[in-house]
Amino acid sequence: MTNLIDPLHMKNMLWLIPCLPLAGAVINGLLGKRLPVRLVHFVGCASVFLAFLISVAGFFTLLGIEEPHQRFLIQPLYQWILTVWHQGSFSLQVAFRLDPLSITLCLVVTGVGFLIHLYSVGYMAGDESQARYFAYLNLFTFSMLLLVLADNLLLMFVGWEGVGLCSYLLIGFWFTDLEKAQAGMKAFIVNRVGDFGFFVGLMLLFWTLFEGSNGTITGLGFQQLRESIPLLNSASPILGVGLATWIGLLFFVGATGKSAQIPLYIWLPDAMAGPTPVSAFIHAATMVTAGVYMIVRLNFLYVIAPAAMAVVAVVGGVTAFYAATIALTQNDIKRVLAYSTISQLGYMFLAVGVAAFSTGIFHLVTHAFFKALLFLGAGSVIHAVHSNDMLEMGGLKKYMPHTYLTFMAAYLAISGIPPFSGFVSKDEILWATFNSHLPVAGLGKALWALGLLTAGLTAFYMTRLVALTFMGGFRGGLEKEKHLHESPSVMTFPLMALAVLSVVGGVIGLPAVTHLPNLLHDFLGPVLSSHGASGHQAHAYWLELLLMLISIGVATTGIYLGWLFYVKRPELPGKVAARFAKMYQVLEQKYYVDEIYQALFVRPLLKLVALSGRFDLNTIDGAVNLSSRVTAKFSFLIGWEDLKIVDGAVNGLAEIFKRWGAALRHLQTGKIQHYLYSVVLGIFGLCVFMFLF
Amino acid sequence: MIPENFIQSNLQGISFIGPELILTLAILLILLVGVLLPYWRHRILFTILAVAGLAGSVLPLWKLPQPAPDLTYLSNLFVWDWLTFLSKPFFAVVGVLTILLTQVTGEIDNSEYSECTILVLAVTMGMMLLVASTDLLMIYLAFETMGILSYLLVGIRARDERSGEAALKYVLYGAFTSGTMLFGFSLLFGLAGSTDLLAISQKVAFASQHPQDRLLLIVAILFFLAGLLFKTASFPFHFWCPDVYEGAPTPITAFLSVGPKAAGFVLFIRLFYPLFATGHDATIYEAVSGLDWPSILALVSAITMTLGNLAAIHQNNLKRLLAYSSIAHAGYLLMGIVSLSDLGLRSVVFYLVVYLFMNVGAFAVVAMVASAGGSEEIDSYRGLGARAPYVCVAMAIFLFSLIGLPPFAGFVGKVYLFAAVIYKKIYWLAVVAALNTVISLYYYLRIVKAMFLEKPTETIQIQVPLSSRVLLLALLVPTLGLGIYWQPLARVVSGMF
Amino acid sequence: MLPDHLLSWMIFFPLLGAGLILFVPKRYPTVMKGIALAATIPPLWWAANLYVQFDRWGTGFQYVEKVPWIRAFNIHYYLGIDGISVPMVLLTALLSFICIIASWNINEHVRGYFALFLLLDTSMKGVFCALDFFMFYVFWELMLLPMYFLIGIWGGPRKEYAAIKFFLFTLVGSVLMLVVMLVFYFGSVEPATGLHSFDLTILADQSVHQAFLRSHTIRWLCYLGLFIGFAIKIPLVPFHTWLPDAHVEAPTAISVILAGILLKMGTYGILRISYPLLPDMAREFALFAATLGLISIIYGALCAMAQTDLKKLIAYSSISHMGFVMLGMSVFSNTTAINGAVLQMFNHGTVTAMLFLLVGVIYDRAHIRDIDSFGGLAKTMPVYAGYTGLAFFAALGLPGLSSFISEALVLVGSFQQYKIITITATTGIILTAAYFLWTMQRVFLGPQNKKWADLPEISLREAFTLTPLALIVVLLGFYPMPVLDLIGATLKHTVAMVVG
Repeated sequence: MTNLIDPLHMKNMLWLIPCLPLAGAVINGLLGKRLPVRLVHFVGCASVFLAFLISVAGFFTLLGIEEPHQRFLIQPLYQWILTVWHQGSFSLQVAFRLDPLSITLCLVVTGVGFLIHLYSVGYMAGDESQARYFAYLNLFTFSMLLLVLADNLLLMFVGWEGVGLCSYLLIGFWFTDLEKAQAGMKAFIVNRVGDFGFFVGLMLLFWTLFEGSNGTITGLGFQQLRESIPLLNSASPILGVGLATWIGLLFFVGATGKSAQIPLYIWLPDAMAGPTPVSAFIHAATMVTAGVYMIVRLNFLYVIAPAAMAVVAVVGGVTAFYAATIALTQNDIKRVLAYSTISQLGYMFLAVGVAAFSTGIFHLVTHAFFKALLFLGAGSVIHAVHSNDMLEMGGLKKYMPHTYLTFMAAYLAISGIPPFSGFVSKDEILWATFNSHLPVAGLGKALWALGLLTAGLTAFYMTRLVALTFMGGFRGGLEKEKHLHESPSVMTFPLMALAVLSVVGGVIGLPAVTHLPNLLHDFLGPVLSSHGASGHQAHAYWLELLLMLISIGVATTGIYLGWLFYVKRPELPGKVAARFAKMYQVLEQKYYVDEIYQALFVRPLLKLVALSGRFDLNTIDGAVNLSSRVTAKFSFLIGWEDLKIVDGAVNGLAEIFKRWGAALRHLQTGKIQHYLYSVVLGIFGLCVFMFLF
Repeated sequence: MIPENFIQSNLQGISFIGPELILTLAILLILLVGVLLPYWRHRILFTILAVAGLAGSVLPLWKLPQPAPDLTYLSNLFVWDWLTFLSKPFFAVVGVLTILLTQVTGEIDNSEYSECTILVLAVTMGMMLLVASTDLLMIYLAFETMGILSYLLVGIRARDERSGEAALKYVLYGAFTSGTMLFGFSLLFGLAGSTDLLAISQKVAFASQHPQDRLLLIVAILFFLAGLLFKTASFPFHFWCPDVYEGAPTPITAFLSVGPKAAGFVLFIRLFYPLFATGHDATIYEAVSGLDWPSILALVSAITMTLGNLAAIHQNNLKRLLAYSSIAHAGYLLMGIVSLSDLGLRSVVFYLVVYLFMNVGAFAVVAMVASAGGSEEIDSYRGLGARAPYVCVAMAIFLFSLIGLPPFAGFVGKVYLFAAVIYKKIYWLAVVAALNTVISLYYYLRIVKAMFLEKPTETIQIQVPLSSRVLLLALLVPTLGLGIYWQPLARVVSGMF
Repeated sequence: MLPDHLLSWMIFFPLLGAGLILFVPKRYPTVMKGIALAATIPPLWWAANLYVQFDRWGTGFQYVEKVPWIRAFNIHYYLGIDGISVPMVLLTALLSFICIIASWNINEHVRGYFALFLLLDTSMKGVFCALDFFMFYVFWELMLLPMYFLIGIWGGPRKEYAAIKFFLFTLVGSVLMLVVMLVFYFGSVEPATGLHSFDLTILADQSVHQAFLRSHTIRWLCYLGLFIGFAIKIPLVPFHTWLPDAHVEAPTAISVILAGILLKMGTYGILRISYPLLPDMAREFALFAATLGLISIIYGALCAMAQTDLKKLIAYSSISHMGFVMLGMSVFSNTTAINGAVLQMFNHGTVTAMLFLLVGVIYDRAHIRDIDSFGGLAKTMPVYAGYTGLAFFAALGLPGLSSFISEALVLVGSFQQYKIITITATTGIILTAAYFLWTMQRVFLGPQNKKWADLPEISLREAFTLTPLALIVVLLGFYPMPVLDLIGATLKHTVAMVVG
């Protein structure tokens, strides 16, 4: 392929990709109130669209470079942090890195992002603070692109927390509703818990490399990290666990926060409080994938830490299954999708945990398409019904044909029906899991089985969702039924675009069975460690095909059961629920995890807080006040010392004198005598001192 | 032969006691005017005469030869050294300030005014004599001149019961302690067979080698201490101080808190350094072996300042509060004595100078407020800052200076004293004094708080006459000026020792 | 067009303004305010010039002025600045200017307020420029007087208690410093003249220390004395209880100065005095100091969360944030942490200034600061909510805003030396996020409280005080080099000196 754009030019334009949305955010954020609403829309959408165009150009520029290992462009912008000491320095640049991995994410973020911006124009029409909305959305796009394009870990962390911030802002967008505001806060704080892991990992990584290299490692640039990562192997282990594993696990803690994995997934379902396009964009297509992206970005670290990888895989697999079980019983359409997102993210972690990094990214991409579509479709439904509760929907097929059709494409994709994109990527994950070489024997197979089961559950709950929403008759009441309508074209166009992508997205990563090239895998190859290139053994052709058929079978079974339960015999779910009442309740209450966390962490913390507040007021400040009171009391005594203490003593003495006889009594005429006694006492005292010394 | 020389030297010596003679003349003149014009209603004449007398008294000083440590005159009764040279103007300033304060406040009735001025002049004369004396007998005479006349000053308001009671206490207490001191003198005289300090000091150095004589010396030192600690209002002879200060007319209180107290400290230097300390050349002294009086004094210093400060916290009467504060300051000043070094002596003198301005300043404000219709109780200072801003700002400055905060002179004085004990590595005393500063902050700030932070109970502006303002200004300038640039005074005091 | 003796001008120019104000007749309060404003503008301009012209690579002091002051004690009028002073001077000049504007609504005792404020300004700049220990001490103490009155006269309901508590606490620290200062004076001999010295540059030379000053016990006690003095100012737990009271009662502008500048004097003093004079003890105390820093971070955050008074909350958050400074300053194996610490001093100055200004805005309108009594204010005052949001997120260390860089540098740097402490301190950022967001929610989010529905939006004057700070916060978040550049060489030198 010829070079459409000179790589040098492209390199100098990299900063535009994140900064265009930033400019949009600044314009809308500062001036939005005074701008006409159409201009706000234009700024919001155009900035992302331009970034998308540049990303496309970047993509082709990269492709234009012949040698795959040369396919990266780094634009250093300016020195960001520099501290120098005698034995070393800590130096970071603000630099953007365009390589196959980051451009893939860039295309998803700007591409899907643009569609969602466009959709928002329709969805948010009439809201009074659209400028704020678009500013936040653009700011989010900026943060995500910063995260993706950052050339060092700390800059990545800026984007990493930036998306957390935007998530907070957008979840609580309708802040007058206290619950929504609280959901935003929860998201941010839970994310911070993850960020804590990320940050500690970052510090441990830097200093281990710094000390291992005798101070020649001075930054956190990915190229440098990748080259020096073997130094971790020579560092002495902590508590018997190798440094690479520690660091890998700490970063994974960060990933579980951002990507909503066990144990930090709890914020994501609540995040559905935000406007639906936000859920589509942030909580399905982009931000939550940051954890996956980060681990793939650090693949060179993880391949030398098999134990950490195994943890990632297990957590991913278990989360996938666990979230799917919760999704079975939820009635809020967005909540079902939220748990499904958690579940799908679990798949991605499963993939990266078994070193199938490109497969993880593949699923990330296809998931971005179909999950965005699902959410936008749900948004379209909510837009019409004005409710999230699926029990108040039903039969929407006939009122919203476009939404229905596009939704079905995504539904089939997520359920794992070939040849939809979701099938291809999910199946590749299962195949990679089956083939994996995890440190514990049989773990790969077990995780495969779990993944397969999850696929069945996914098909089931998605069928349930579709059935409750689009099939049957409308349950929301006559009044509402009158107002049901298809969404405007500005909303349905993105749906269609995403539907097409959901259907055909699979072509970029075709499995080996097809004997066609796996484009994504080859494209990403240079950024991934050689170890990650597994899953393409030719001899396993039949095995792969067999497993594929099994998985199709499971998916079909899931769909059938769903159809049976919710279309054919709608009385069945109630019966089953009654039969397994305990279990049903546990699932419906999401395993009571929120309550458990509340009891385990939040309440003790609040107790500690109250205790600290009281301790400070009563004990520390109390001690200060007490010391001043004691001084005051003491001084009070001394202030009266001539009347009380000394006089007392003098009087006591006088009493004795008095008893000696009446002759002395006439001396007791007034205070002055006391003073004179005090002179005697004073001299006496001085004598005592003198002789004691 | 001898008588001729004797007469000759005595005639020369007369010129050295010029200030005292001029003061005596002034006293006589005022007496005469007082007799001739018994119903004189305008006190200004007495004031002018007294101030002129005091001012005139220091004039001869500059005609005299360069002071030297061994320049004695009048049969070794007096010495003409730098301490003498500088103390005399100091006492003259104290006297002038007292007279002026008496004049502007009007606390003392016209009928008693002439006596008052005479007594102030006479006490000043006593103090001047005291600081120059190097003979036990002369010291005692001057000490009693100063003492007895100041008892009279305290009781000057004959019809005021408080004043009378205070005077009585002062008299009895003073008589007791000076008697004790006299007994100490007699012991020393018995030991040395001379009343000349120089002669005694040689005997003392010799006697301290013998255990039985050392015991005698210890008793003598203790009896000295009784007198001196009484005059300086230090523990354990400070009990008179609050009652007397409260009872005496405010200008007289100001006078007592600075004049006799300073004289007491000068006497400390006069008596203890030649007698019980050796090693002047090295700028560091040592206590005569076997007599560990500095340790006792250090303890007395620590107790005195702590006691004074703590006791002051609960006082609501400003004069009483300032009385305790002056006890605390005596404790600080003792730090300079116990440090047994030239720096210590300098710091005492330096502190006395700045203490003169700030303490008289504080009492002056109390007197002015009282005469302008307020009272001495802290309650009447509530919100005074709004009613009499000038006076209150001045008061605040004096108080901050007394606390020892920069950029006021009191801070520098404290630095001197702290430096003295730290120089001698008596760190514990420095820390005690430092913490005492914090305690003292509390009660000084009570006054500041009342003046500025609290709401006034009345809104009428208090009119302070111009003369008072000028007097305050005269006290403010050195209080502030010496805090910012004290090099001149520093040079003067470092020339003294 | 800079005058000679630039530092002297900068320090004493506000004092000239204060003098001038005293002569303005009482009926022209606006003239007094105008003079006060005019007295802070040239120093700001000079400070900006200083910032531009300062030689980044020089390790010595620049703009030095040295003349004998009191020969008897060998005290010099000795000014000079290095990389640590410049950001502090700049901050002081900027905040003074802003605070004068923020004080425009002071209508009681206008003359006193502005005169005292300018005196405070002078003393603060003096502290940051003095190179003579004695002079440093004088300026250090001088600051107490105006502060006492500014809190005590123009403060809130418990102003008297707060003012005296502030005064007593700080005085305890200063008198200890005075004793140590004199120990150093007598413990050292200037080789050129044979005199004792207060000159900090000479005292830093360990070879001038006399035998008794080399004794471990004396050095240990001296360091302890200085440390307590400075720790009270910072303030480190458990010397902190004056701060919440002082903040709550102080008028807005004074809270800004208190948190923005005064607290930095503690850490500045450690850098300027403790470390150079007693580098060996600095090493010995490092772990202890780092631990106190950690305790302040966590404990401050926990206490902040317990508060219901907005100002008190921010006061405790200051304790927590200053803990980061102490932690960073206790690291000597690299300069990253200490760079972070000094940067944090600057950043905390701007961020906390914004926070207190913002509290002032709401207090001026509602006359209460109880967090729980608000709610939904973002609806009523969106612009105000925007500024507050920015300040809160800056305070909780959001990447992209200034405090993040400094806290990250502190943590990254400390990690090399204190693993456990740093990891524990990192949890502090979670707590910080929690209480700021919780506050945000209680005040601004949720249903609009009808009681405050008609509060007027932030005024132009108030926005004017906030905007420069906001710009700095954002700028330094993405590009901290303007400050790092300034302090790097000096701190490299400082650390090298402490390590020995």
